[in-house]
Amino acid sequence: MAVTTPRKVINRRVRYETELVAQKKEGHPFFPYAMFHDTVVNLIIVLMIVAMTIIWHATAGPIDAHHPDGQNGWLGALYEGKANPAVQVTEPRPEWYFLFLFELLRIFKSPWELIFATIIIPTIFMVLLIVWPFIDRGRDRRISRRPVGMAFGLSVPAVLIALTIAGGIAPGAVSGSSITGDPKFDALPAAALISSHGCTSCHNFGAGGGTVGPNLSQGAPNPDPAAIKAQIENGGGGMPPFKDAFTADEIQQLVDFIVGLGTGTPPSG
Amino acid sequence: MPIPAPDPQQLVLQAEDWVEYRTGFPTLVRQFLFRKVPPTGWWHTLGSSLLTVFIMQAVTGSLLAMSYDPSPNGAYESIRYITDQQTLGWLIRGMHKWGASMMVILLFLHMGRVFFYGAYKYPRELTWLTGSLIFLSTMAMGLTGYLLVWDERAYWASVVAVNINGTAPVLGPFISKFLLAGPVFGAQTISRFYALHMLLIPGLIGALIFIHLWLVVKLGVTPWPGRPVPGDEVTGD
Repeated sequence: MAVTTPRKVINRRVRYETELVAQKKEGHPFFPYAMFHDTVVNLIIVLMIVAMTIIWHATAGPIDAHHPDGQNGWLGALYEGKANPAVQVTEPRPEWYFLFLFELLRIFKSPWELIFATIIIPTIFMVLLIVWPFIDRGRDRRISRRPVGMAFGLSVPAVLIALTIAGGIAPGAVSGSSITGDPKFDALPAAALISSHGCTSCHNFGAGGGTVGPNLSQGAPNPDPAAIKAQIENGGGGMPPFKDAFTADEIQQLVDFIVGLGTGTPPSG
Repeated sequence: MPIPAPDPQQLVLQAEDWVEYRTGFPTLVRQFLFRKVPPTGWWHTLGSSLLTVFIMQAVTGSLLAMSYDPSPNGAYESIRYITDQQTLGWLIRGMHKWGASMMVILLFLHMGRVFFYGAYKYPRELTWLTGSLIFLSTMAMGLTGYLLVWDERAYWASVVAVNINGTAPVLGPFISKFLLAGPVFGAQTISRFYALHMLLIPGLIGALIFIHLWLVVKLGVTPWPGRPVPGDEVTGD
């Protein structure tokens, strides 16, 4: 035996090959032994998909005069209104399996933290996932001998489930006509624009709303009017650009409105 | 003198020989079907369920592609046509939609099973690696498929997703530009998402599944780690 070959490598190879030889000698044939279980479970899975489809279709009706948003089924709508790039009236909520990422946006939402939610944490998660077998190189597969692995294996799903639930029940757009809770602000034309373009699905202007974007009830994080204008026009940090959705006058009204929320005095005119 | 009636069994064997000599497939299939596996149970069925759902997604997806119009003016209308008017179109679309959710759930369960069995350990590291790439590709399928309905929710969720992507340092703006195929979401974007969703990513997943299954068959199924390993007395620990 070469001196340079560590004993450990030989050991795990011998161990695996012994296991495989024993399996070939004493194991059951894949067909029909394992295939029986496979067939039963596959059948159940496909039936579950069909059942969900039937429930989804049977309980949800198409969009009509009574259901303008199409939100009328146990498992959601068949479809909502056609996408209109100029007007945002709905909440940009992703599929449920991306809600954990969506929730991270809520947790890390100030501009300097945002990179944690968008890049750093997802990248760490993806790299850890891919290279995990090269990090956890212990030979023993028994659960009782893998405390660190088990800590990861239980905590990661727990965190993912918690984030998904939190993302799913997070508050959405304000449904009432008041968006600030202050009649003087609510009477302004900018308030109507905010309401009709779904801004409250991400921002709180004082009367509740989404928490994905910064809370604007006390003004913008950066109170500089030019910065507010640039943010509305070009978006950034997850926010879509609204340059084409508003006229220049309307954007100025929105900027004055948000500046006014910061100072506590509604803009005149 | 009458010609003797051919023996059916003999004919089948001859046909098999013919195929065997030219392709080797019968041996391959036999080796796959009758390979020995350790005592397995219900937890070992998740991988095959994933394969089944993937095939189901490919079939329903192909059927949807026959009626789907990947353009900003036609996408939404074709989805409504499929859902409301086409014979059993709602079933095809619904199975594709809920099949996607089911696939994500099964991926997590399968990954969990493999994790708790320690089945990613030596020498099966690359099986895990290909599996995690399948997982990430499936998430990319969810992202690209969501937009194709072209309703309000799908549209704005995709806008936000691409914008978030664009905030990544160095590569982010390039990836966003690639996904958008233009300055804003429009006709180019929807055909790009469509091509990614129905050609590029599924092709990639198919290839990864092939490698993944190859490794599973080559390396053998991992038994439950609680059982004594026959090599234990040989190697100690």
